[in-house]
Amino acid sequence: MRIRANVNKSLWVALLALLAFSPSLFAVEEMSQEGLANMIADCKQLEYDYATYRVKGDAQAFANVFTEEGEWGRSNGRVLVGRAAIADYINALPAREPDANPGLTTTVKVTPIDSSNANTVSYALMPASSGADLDDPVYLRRFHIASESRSVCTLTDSGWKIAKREYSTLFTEPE
Amino acid sequence: MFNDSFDTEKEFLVKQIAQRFLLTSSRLTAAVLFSAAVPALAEMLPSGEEMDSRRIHEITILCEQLWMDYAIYRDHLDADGFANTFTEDGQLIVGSGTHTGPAALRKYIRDHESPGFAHMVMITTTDITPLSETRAVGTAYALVNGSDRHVGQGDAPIQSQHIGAANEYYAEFEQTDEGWKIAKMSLRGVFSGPRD
Repeated sequence: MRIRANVNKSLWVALLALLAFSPSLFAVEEMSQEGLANMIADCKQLEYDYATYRVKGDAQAFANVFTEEGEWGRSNGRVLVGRAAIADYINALPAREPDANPGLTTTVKVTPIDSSNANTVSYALMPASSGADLDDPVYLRRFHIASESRSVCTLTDSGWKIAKREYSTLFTEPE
Repeated sequence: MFNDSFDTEKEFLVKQIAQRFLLTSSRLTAAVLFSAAVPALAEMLPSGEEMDSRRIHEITILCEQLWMDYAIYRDHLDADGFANTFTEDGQLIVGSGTHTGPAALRKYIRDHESPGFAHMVMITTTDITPLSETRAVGTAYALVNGSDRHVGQGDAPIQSQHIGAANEYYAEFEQTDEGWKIAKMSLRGVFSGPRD
């Protein structure tokens, strides 16, 4: 009987400790609408930064969208870890190869986890162009791919960053 | 033939005209006063114009996010998440009919084959108009791609030449105790792509 009481007591202590040291458990519900709106806007902006810097081939700015140890999963299963590896990858790409165009960011759903963490799901459409000089409009034949990206975003000292990102291509142009 | 209090026919006619004018002018006066009162009454009601730009920005972002929730929950066939995007008596009007309330909205999603065929509602342009602190309306455009098979992690993508459709969505949003929700939403197809 006494053992059972001790077990119950331990469970209560553990539960109280969990509540005491995990304020983020209830953080989303406690967030003001202003805080929620700001988080959504900031995380959406990350998606747009990701797309823009990728198109421009700005390796440093692109890498800076991620956290210092951010992970970027590629379609071949390879995962690049850290800003340096991500920047190296972008710098190593042939200039203006079709893959360098992440396309048009469309749906961006932000799901707050707590006041400093959120998950996002976003869609992108990548046009299939002739690959000619992108300074001029090119004939748009069809869409090359339509993909879904899933990111974990976190608030750092220098703002919101992507801590982890992976994607799946759902639609592609016929071979 | 004339009223005794009137000296002449002319005086009687003038009085008649004056009475008609006064009657008409009373209506005019009432109309003018009412017109003047409408803006004053309208100002007493909370409106989008009264809200500061920061609040309008908040409402816009939070309602816009509901479009995104709708799209992802629909595509991932998350019935509970989808239903929770709407108010308790929320209404979705689509080609298959009108679905009202959480149970019907969950059923709408669960009636799709599981695991779901690859489906993407790609929201593009959104326009949100806050009407008050608790109501807003909005329009959105989306490109939509559907398919006839599921694409899981590591599966080959579906080969497709075209975007399936371009739709226009209309929604009414309401602030509830659980935050902003969709009270009513309808869509219409604007463009349809050729079948591959």
